Amino acid sequence: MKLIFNSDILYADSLISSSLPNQLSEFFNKCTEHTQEHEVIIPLTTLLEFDRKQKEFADKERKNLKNAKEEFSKYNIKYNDFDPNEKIQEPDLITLIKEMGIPCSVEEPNILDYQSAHEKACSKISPCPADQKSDEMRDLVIWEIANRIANENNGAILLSRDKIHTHHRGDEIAVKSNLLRCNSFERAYEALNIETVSAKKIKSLLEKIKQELIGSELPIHDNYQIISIEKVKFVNNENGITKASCNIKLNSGTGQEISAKMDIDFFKEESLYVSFSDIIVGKSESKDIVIELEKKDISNIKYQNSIKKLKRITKD
Amino acid sequence: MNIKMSSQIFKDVEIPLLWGKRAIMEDKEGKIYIIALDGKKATIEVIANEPAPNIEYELVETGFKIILNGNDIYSFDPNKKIITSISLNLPECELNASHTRIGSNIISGCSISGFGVGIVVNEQGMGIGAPLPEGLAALIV
Repeated sequence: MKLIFNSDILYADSLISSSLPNQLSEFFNKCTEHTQEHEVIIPLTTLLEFDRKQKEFADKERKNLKNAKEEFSKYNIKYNDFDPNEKIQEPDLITLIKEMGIPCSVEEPNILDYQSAHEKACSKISPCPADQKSDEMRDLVIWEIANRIANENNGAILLSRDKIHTHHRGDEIAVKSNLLRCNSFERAYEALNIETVSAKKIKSLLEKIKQELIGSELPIHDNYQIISIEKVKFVNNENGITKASCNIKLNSGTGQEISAKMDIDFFKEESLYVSFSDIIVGKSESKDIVIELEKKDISNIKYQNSIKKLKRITKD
Repeated sequence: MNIKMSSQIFKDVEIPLLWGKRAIMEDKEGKIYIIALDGKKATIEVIANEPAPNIEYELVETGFKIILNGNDIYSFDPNKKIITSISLNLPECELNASHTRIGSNIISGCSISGFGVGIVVNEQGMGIGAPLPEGLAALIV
């Protein structure tokens, strides 16, 4: 799969030298562990933005070293002379990504990309918002590159949080070119069928209540399988109970696919309540299912203690 | 507020570390608290290294990320005590026993006294000792 990056996902908040920021190296590691078939595409626009930011960081560091030299000279402190420009080097992003074991290339916009982006910006054509005041050509150029690459390769993933890239205005074009848009690494993992940490957590909770699930109205059998768990979100309450919601797809164990929204409440590792809504079994809708589990003794004073501590800190 | 955080001592400050519009504090056990001050009232987002009640989050490899109105805001690694901006455009912040790291800047063994904010971090950079910016909610929990 071609993985195309926008600069709001592919960024570093300080000067990088020998390695990529953690979140990026983790992502590339997971991609290479999963399959060797992924390729990173950096639109030239993204690379230029990344390099500009790195140059700013590097210039600042060079200035700091220059100032330090001046301070040493002022107080006649001896030191081995050095050239700040040589000491502080800007990174080569493409080489750093390639060193992670994943192919990587820069994609330059072609004349058609520019023309199409230009037209969309001037005529306010989707995904460009009709009421946008600034004409963000850079984002539209990346949009054109991403759709072109997806068209040429039977699909691609664009990792971007940018409004122009993620807005539903772009849905029709993205579907046509088979461009999947992911606004975080977690959504990209899901698109690449790489299990997220959150999905693992939900899976382990469901594994413990397997018999209750099989015995419920959910049409699953002993050998059911979880196909995917996506878009997991968690919220804790004051008692320490965690409420999680997600989209789940199951194989019933008899060949039917079941998809549903799932809510699960749990305390520590014990599930308390599970519900399934918007259930589709095969192609048919099914009624919501609630599974009340055995009541556990919930006594959690963790948050109260932590809040007391915090109050003490702020009043000290 | 008088507090020792990482290797820094803050005396008579209102907020020891202000990361964008979030106050960051550490208790004596080294656990981190992150409090958003951009609303009318202070909102605890991270409490003793864990997501605070009523805060939406998602688990990530290194810890969890805080979600606000459907947007990923920042992630927190409770083991390394690293706070990483996702959409706040702020430098990464790490608090460990020997130093505080803001982006590539290392602060170690500082005593900061008598400022509104001990260490201030914003999109433009960082500084030591600054007045309390206007428009923040009071740090009352």
